[in-house]
Amino acid sequence: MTNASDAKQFSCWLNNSKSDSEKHQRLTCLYTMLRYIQQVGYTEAFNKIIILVSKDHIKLFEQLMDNYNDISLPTRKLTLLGNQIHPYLNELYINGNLDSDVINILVRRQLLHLWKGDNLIHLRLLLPMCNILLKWDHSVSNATNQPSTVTFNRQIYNPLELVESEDMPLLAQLADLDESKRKGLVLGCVDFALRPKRPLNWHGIHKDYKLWLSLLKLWWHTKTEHSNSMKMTLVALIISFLKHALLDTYGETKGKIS
Amino acid sequence: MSNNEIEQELEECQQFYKELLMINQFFEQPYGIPSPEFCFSRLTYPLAVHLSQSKYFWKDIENFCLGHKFLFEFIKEFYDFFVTNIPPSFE
Repeated sequence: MTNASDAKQFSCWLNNSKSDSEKHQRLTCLYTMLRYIQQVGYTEAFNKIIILVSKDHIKLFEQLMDNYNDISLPTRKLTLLGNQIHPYLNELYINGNLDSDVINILVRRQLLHLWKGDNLIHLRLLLPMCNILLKWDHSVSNATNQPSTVTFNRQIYNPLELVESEDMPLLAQLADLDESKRKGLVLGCVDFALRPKRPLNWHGIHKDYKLWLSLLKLWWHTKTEHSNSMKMTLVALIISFLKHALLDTYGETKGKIS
Repeated sequence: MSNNEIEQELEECQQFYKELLMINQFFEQPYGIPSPEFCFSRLTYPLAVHLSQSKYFWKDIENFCLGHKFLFEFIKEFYDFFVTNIPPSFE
Protein backbone atom coordinates (compact mmCIF):
# COMPACT_ATOMS: atom_id res chain seq x y z
CA MET A 1 0.00 0.00 0.00
CA THR A 2 1.11 3.52 -0.70
CA ASN A 3 2.59 5.69 2.04
CA ALA A 4 -0.20 8.24 1.63
CA SER A 5 -1.24 10.05 4.79
CA ASP A 6 -4.72 8.55 4.78
CA ALA A 7 -3.70 4.99 3.91
CA LYS A 8 -4.66 3.74 7.36
CA GLN A 9 -8.07 5.40 7.24
CA PHE A 10 -8.68 4.03 3.79
CA SER A 11 -7.76 0.54 4.91
CA CYS A 12 -10.00 0.85 7.93
CA TRP A 13 -12.92 2.07 5.85
CA LEU A 14 -12.42 -0.68 3.27
CA ASN A 15 -12.30 -3.43 5.86
CA ASN A 16 -15.50 -2.16 7.45
CA SER A 17 -17.39 -1.87 4.19
CA LYS A 18 -19.60 -4.67 2.95
CA SER A 19 -18.00 -5.69 -0.30
CA ASP A 20 -16.40 -8.77 -1.74
CA SER A 21 -12.69 -9.33 -2.21
CA GLU A 22 -12.78 -8.46 -5.92
CA LYS A 23 -14.27 -5.05 -5.15
CA HIS A 24 -11.68 -4.67 -2.38
CA GLN A 25 -8.91 -5.25 -4.88
CA ARG A 26 -10.35 -2.85 -7.43
CA LEU A 27 -10.89 -0.12 -4.86
CA THR A 28 -7.41 -0.60 -3.41
CA CYS A 29 -5.93 -0.42 -6.91
CA LEU A 30 -7.85 2.77 -7.74
CA TYR A 31 -6.92 4.37 -4.44
CA THR A 32 -3.24 3.47 -4.77
CA MET A 33 -3.11 4.75 -8.35
CA LEU A 34 -4.80 7.99 -7.40
CA ARG A 35 -2.43 8.69 -4.51
CA TYR A 36 0.54 7.72 -6.68
CA ILE A 37 -0.49 10.06 -9.50
CA GLN A 38 -1.09 12.88 -7.00
CA GLN A 39 2.31 12.21 -5.48
CA VAL A 40 4.51 12.10 -8.61
CA GLY A 41 2.42 14.21 -11.01
CA TYR A 42 0.53 12.88 -14.01
CA THR A 43 3.37 13.12 -16.52
CA GLU A 44 5.74 10.92 -14.58
CA ALA A 45 2.92 8.60 -13.57
CA PHE A 46 1.89 8.16 -17.20
CA ASN A 47 5.48 7.49 -18.29
CA LYS A 48 5.87 4.86 -15.60
CA ILE A 49 2.51 3.21 -16.27
CA ILE A 50 2.70 3.17 -20.08
CA ILE A 51 5.73 0.86 -20.04
CA LEU A 52 3.55 -1.72 -18.32
CA VAL A 53 1.39 -1.94 -21.46
CA SER A 54 2.76 -4.74 -23.68
CA LYS A 55 3.99 -3.87 -27.21
CA ASP A 56 1.12 -5.89 -28.73
CA HIS A 57 -1.44 -3.72 -26.99
CA ILE A 58 0.12 -0.26 -27.46
CA LYS A 59 -1.84 0.48 -30.64
CA LEU A 60 -5.16 -0.57 -29.05
CA PHE A 61 -4.33 1.45 -25.97
CA GLU A 62 -3.69 4.56 -28.11
CA GLN A 63 -6.96 4.01 -29.94
CA LEU A 64 -8.80 3.85 -26.63
CA MET A 65 -7.15 7.08 -25.51
CA ASP A 66 -8.17 8.78 -28.76
CA ASN A 67 -11.74 7.64 -28.30
CA TYR A 68 -11.84 9.22 -24.90
CA ASN A 69 -10.37 12.47 -26.23
CA ASP A 70 -12.61 12.79 -29.23
CA ILE A 71 -16.25 12.57 -28.28
CA SER A 72 -17.76 15.57 -30.01
CA LEU A 73 -21.23 15.24 -31.45
CA PRO A 74 -21.29 13.27 -34.68
CA THR A 75 -21.19 15.92 -37.40
CA ARG A 76 -24.36 14.59 -38.98
CA LYS A 77 -26.38 15.95 -36.03
CA LEU A 78 -28.10 19.12 -37.13
CA THR A 79 -31.05 20.94 -35.73
CA LEU A 80 -34.43 20.52 -37.39
CA LEU A 81 -33.72 23.66 -39.41
CA GLY A 82 -30.35 22.38 -40.57
CA ASN A 83 -28.10 24.38 -38.22
CA GLN A 84 -25.01 23.00 -36.54
CA ILE A 85 -25.47 22.71 -32.79
CA HIS A 86 -24.31 25.91 -31.10
CA PRO A 87 -20.77 25.70 -29.65
CA TYR A 88 -22.04 26.61 -26.17
CA LEU A 89 -24.20 23.47 -26.15
CA ASN A 90 -21.62 21.32 -27.90
CA GLU A 91 -18.97 22.22 -25.34
CA LEU A 92 -21.23 21.33 -22.40
CA TYR A 93 -22.33 18.12 -24.10
CA ILE A 94 -18.89 16.70 -24.94
CA ASN A 95 -17.73 17.40 -21.39
CA GLY A 96 -20.61 15.33 -20.06
CA ASN A 97 -22.31 18.40 -18.64
CA LEU A 98 -25.48 18.42 -20.70
CA ASP A 99 -28.23 15.83 -20.98
CA SER A 100 -28.75 14.64 -24.56
CA ASP A 101 -32.47 15.37 -24.15
CA VAL A 102 -31.59 19.05 -24.46
CA ILE A 103 -29.89 18.42 -27.82
CA ASN A 104 -32.96 16.38 -28.78
CA ILE A 105 -35.14 19.44 -28.42
CA LEU A 106 -33.23 21.06 -31.27
CA VAL A 107 -32.72 17.96 -33.39
CA ARG A 108 -36.14 16.35 -33.17
CA ARG A 109 -38.20 19.07 -31.48
CA GLN A 110 -39.25 16.43 -28.99
CA LEU A 111 -39.61 17.05 -25.29
CA LEU A 112 -39.09 14.14 -22.92
CA HIS A 113 -40.09 11.59 -25.56
CA LEU A 114 -39.40 8.68 -23.19
CA TRP A 115 -41.60 10.05 -20.42
CA LYS A 116 -45.09 8.57 -20.48
CA GLY A 117 -46.66 11.05 -18.07
CA ASP A 118 -48.81 13.94 -19.21
CA ASN A 119 -48.74 16.47 -16.40
CA LEU A 120 -48.15 19.91 -17.90
CA ILE A 121 -45.89 21.06 -15.09
CA HIS A 122 -43.13 19.00 -16.75
CA LEU A 123 -43.72 20.87 -19.99
CA ARG A 124 -43.86 24.30 -18.34
CA LEU A 125 -40.64 23.66 -16.44
CA LEU A 126 -38.80 23.18 -19.73
CA LEU A 127 -40.58 25.82 -21.85
CA PRO A 128 -38.25 28.75 -21.00
CA MET A 129 -35.23 26.68 -22.02
CA CYS A 130 -37.08 25.61 -25.23
CA ASN A 131 -37.80 29.26 -25.91
CA ILE A 132 -34.09 30.13 -25.80
CA LEU A 133 -33.16 27.13 -27.95
CA LEU A 134 -35.80 27.60 -30.63
CA LYS A 135 -35.32 31.34 -30.79
CA TRP A 136 -31.68 30.73 -31.62
CA ASP A 137 -32.47 27.96 -34.13
CA HIS A 138 -34.89 30.17 -36.02
CA SER A 139 -32.67 33.25 -35.85
CA VAL A 140 -29.76 31.54 -37.64
CA SER A 141 -31.84 29.70 -40.17
CA ASN A 142 -33.05 30.79 -43.58
CA ALA A 143 -36.16 28.64 -43.34
CA THR A 144 -38.66 31.31 -42.43
CA ASN A 145 -41.87 29.35 -42.66
CA GLN A 146 -40.98 26.48 -40.34
CA PRO A 147 -43.10 26.32 -37.20
CA SER A 148 -41.35 26.99 -33.89
CA THR A 149 -42.97 24.12 -32.03
CA VAL A 150 -42.05 21.15 -29.84
CA THR A 151 -43.94 17.96 -29.15
CA PHE A 152 -44.74 16.88 -25.62
CA ASN A 153 -46.90 13.85 -24.93
CA ARG A 154 -47.98 13.84 -28.60
CA GLN A 155 -49.26 17.42 -28.37
CA ILE A 156 -47.71 20.40 -30.07
CA TYR A 157 -46.66 23.54 -28.21
CA ASN A 158 -44.99 26.76 -29.32
CA PRO A 159 -42.41 27.97 -26.76
CA LEU A 160 -41.97 31.27 -28.59
CA GLU A 161 -45.63 32.06 -28.02
CA LEU A 162 -46.03 30.52 -24.57
CA VAL A 163 -43.10 32.26 -22.89
CA GLU A 164 -42.61 36.03 -22.67
CA SER A 165 -39.05 36.42 -23.77
CA GLU A 166 -38.22 40.09 -23.20
CA ASP A 167 -36.19 39.28 -20.08
CA MET A 168 -34.71 36.09 -21.46
CA PRO A 169 -31.13 36.04 -22.65
CA LEU A 170 -30.16 34.79 -26.09
CA LEU A 171 -28.37 31.44 -26.31
CA ALA A 172 -25.17 33.21 -27.35
CA GLN A 173 -25.30 35.35 -24.21
CA LEU A 174 -25.51 32.47 -21.76
CA ALA A 175 -21.75 31.88 -21.64
CA ASP A 176 -21.14 35.42 -20.41
CA LEU A 177 -23.82 35.62 -17.77
CA ASP A 178 -22.71 35.89 -14.16
CA GLU A 179 -23.67 33.26 -11.63
CA SER A 180 -26.43 35.21 -9.94
CA LYS A 181 -28.22 35.81 -13.26
CA ARG A 182 -27.96 32.12 -14.13
CA LYS A 183 -29.33 31.20 -10.69
CA GLY A 184 -32.22 33.56 -11.34
CA LEU A 185 -32.91 31.85 -14.66
CA VAL A 186 -33.02 28.38 -13.06
CA LEU A 187 -35.45 29.53 -10.38
CA GLY A 188 -37.37 31.44 -13.05
CA CYS A 189 -38.04 28.12 -14.78
CA VAL A 190 -39.40 26.69 -11.52
CA ASP A 191 -41.62 29.76 -11.04
CA PHE A 192 -42.87 29.48 -14.61
CA ALA A 193 -43.75 25.82 -14.07
CA LEU A 194 -45.72 26.56 -10.93
CA ARG A 195 -47.86 29.36 -12.40
CA PRO A 196 -50.43 30.63 -11.79
CA LYS A 197 -49.24 30.44 -8.18
CA ARG A 198 -47.33 33.48 -6.96
CA PRO A 199 -43.55 33.42 -7.47
CA LEU A 200 -41.73 31.70 -4.65
CA ASN A 201 -39.83 33.78 -2.13
CA TRP A 202 -36.44 32.10 -1.80
CA HIS A 203 -35.13 34.51 0.79
CA GLY A 204 -33.34 32.74 3.61
CA ILE A 205 -33.22 29.35 1.90
CA HIS A 206 -29.69 28.04 1.47
CA LYS A 207 -28.58 27.65 -2.15
CA ASP A 208 -27.76 23.95 -1.70
CA TYR A 209 -31.38 23.15 -0.87
CA LYS A 210 -33.24 25.36 -3.32
CA LEU A 211 -33.37 22.69 -6.00
CA TRP A 212 -34.39 19.95 -3.58
CA LEU A 213 -37.25 22.10 -2.31
CA SER A 214 -38.17 22.98 -5.90
CA LEU A 215 -38.27 19.28 -6.68
CA LEU A 216 -40.75 18.52 -3.92
CA LYS A 217 -42.79 21.62 -4.70
CA LEU A 218 -43.08 20.80 -8.41
CA TRP A 219 -44.05 17.22 -7.70
CA TRP A 220 -46.53 18.15 -4.97
CA HIS A 221 -48.32 20.54 -7.33
CA THR A 222 -48.94 17.92 -10.00
CA LYS A 223 -52.14 17.18 -8.10
CA THR A 224 -54.67 19.54 -6.56
CA GLU A 225 -56.03 16.85 -4.24
CA HIS A 226 -53.49 14.80 -2.37
CA SER A 227 -54.24 11.20 -1.43
CA ASN A 228 -52.95 9.59 1.72
CA SER A 229 -50.38 7.68 -0.33
CA MET A 230 -49.08 10.92 -1.75
CA LYS A 231 -48.84 12.49 1.70
CA MET A 232 -46.92 9.51 3.04
CA THR A 233 -44.65 9.59 0.00
CA LEU A 234 -43.91 13.23 0.82
CA VAL A 235 -43.04 12.32 4.41
CA ALA A 236 -40.83 9.47 3.21
CA LEU A 237 -39.02 11.79 0.77
CA ILE A 238 -38.41 14.33 3.52
CA ILE A 239 -37.17 11.74 6.01
CA SER A 240 -34.90 9.89 3.58
CA PHE A 241 -33.36 13.15 2.39
CA LEU A 242 -32.77 14.41 5.93
CA LYS A 243 -31.27 11.09 6.88
CA HIS A 244 -28.94 10.61 3.92
CA ALA A 245 -27.96 14.18 3.17
CA LEU A 246 -27.73 15.62 6.64
CA LEU A 247 -27.55 12.90 9.28
CA ASP A 248 -25.61 9.90 7.96
CA THR A 249 -21.93 10.24 8.76
CA TYR A 250 -20.26 8.01 6.12
CA GLY A 251 -17.29 7.20 8.30
CA GLU A 252 -16.82 10.58 9.93
CA THR A 253 -14.63 10.24 12.96
CA LYS A 254 -14.47 12.91 15.66
CA GLY A 255 -15.97 15.52 13.35
CA LYS A 256 -13.53 14.96 10.49
CA ILE A 257 -14.70 13.37 7.24
CA SER A 258 -12.40 10.52 6.23
CA MET B 1 -45.96 -5.18 0.17
CA SER B 2 -46.26 -2.94 -2.81
CA ASN B 3 -48.18 0.12 -3.71
CA ASN B 4 -48.57 1.10 -7.33
CA GLU B 5 -49.62 4.61 -6.56
CA ILE B 6 -46.55 5.28 -4.44
CA GLU B 7 -44.29 3.81 -7.12
CA GLN B 8 -45.82 6.08 -9.72
CA GLU B 9 -45.53 9.14 -7.51
CA LEU B 10 -41.85 8.45 -6.88
CA GLU B 11 -41.28 7.99 -10.62
CA GLU B 12 -42.93 11.33 -11.29
CA CYS B 13 -40.76 12.95 -8.63
CA GLN B 14 -37.64 11.37 -10.12
CA GLN B 15 -38.64 12.74 -13.50
CA PHE B 16 -38.69 16.25 -12.03
CA TYR B 17 -35.22 15.60 -10.64
CA LYS B 18 -34.00 14.78 -14.13
CA GLU B 19 -35.62 17.92 -15.54
CA LEU B 20 -34.17 20.18 -12.85
CA LEU B 21 -30.79 18.63 -13.59
CA MET B 22 -31.24 19.43 -17.29
CA ILE B 23 -32.12 23.05 -16.61
CA ASN B 24 -29.30 23.48 -14.11
CA GLN B 25 -26.87 22.00 -16.65
CA PHE B 26 -28.22 24.21 -19.44
CA PHE B 27 -27.39 27.30 -17.38
CA GLU B 28 -23.94 25.91 -16.49
CA GLN B 29 -24.81 24.58 -13.07
CA PRO B 30 -25.13 27.71 -10.96
CA TYR B 31 -26.62 25.51 -8.23
CA GLY B 32 -25.40 22.36 -6.59
CA ILE B 33 -28.06 19.69 -6.70
CA PRO B 34 -28.07 16.91 -4.09
CA SER B 35 -27.14 13.48 -5.50
CA PRO B 36 -30.11 11.39 -6.58
CA GLU B 37 -29.32 8.75 -3.96
CA PHE B 38 -29.86 11.39 -1.26
CA CYS B 39 -33.22 12.38 -2.71
CA PHE B 40 -34.47 8.87 -3.57
CA SER B 41 -32.78 6.26 -1.45
CA ARG B 42 -33.62 2.61 -0.86
CA LEU B 43 -35.35 3.79 2.27
CA THR B 44 -37.87 6.04 0.51
CA TYR B 45 -40.25 3.55 -1.08
CA PRO B 46 -40.54 1.00 1.78
CA LEU B 47 -40.89 3.86 4.25
CA ALA B 48 -43.71 5.42 2.20
CA VAL B 49 -45.48 2.06 1.94
CA HIS B 50 -45.09 1.36 5.65
CA LEU B 51 -46.37 4.79 6.66
CA SER B 52 -49.33 4.59 4.28
CA GLN B 53 -50.39 1.32 5.93
CA SER B 54 -49.85 2.51 9.47
CA LYS B 55 -52.68 3.74 11.63
CA TYR B 56 -50.49 5.95 13.76
CA PHE B 57 -47.88 7.16 11.32
CA TRP B 58 -46.80 10.16 13.39
CA LYS B 59 -46.03 7.72 16.22
CA ASP B 60 -44.00 5.63 13.78
CA ILE B 61 -42.05 8.68 12.70
CA GLU B 62 -41.45 9.65 16.30
CA ASN B 63 -40.03 6.18 16.94
CA PHE B 64 -37.90 6.49 13.81
CA CYS B 65 -36.44 9.69 15.27
CA LEU B 66 -35.29 7.71 18.31
CA GLY B 67 -36.57 10.27 20.74
CA HIS B 68 -34.92 13.28 19.10
CA LYS B 69 -37.71 15.79 19.52
CA PHE B 70 -35.98 18.45 17.43
CA LEU B 71 -35.71 16.11 14.46
CA PHE B 72 -39.32 15.03 14.77
CA GLU B 73 -40.53 18.64 14.94
CA PHE B 74 -38.36 19.51 11.93
CA ILE B 75 -39.92 16.73 9.86
CA LYS B 76 -43.39 17.81 10.94
CA GLU B 77 -42.62 21.42 10.04
CA PHE B 78 -41.46 20.42 6.56
CA TYR B 79 -44.59 18.34 6.05
CA ASP B 80 -46.90 21.14 7.17
CA PHE B 81 -45.01 23.55 4.94
CA PHE B 82 -45.99 21.59 1.84
CA VAL B 83 -49.40 20.35 2.88
CA THR B 84 -50.89 23.47 4.38
CA ASN B 85 -49.01 26.11 2.34
CA ILE B 86 -49.28 28.52 5.22
CA PRO B 87 -45.80 30.05 5.77
CA PRO B 88 -45.96 33.37 3.94
CA SER B 89 -42.22 33.48 3.41
CA PHE B 90 -42.46 30.75 0.79
CA GLU B 91 -45.68 31.71 -0.95
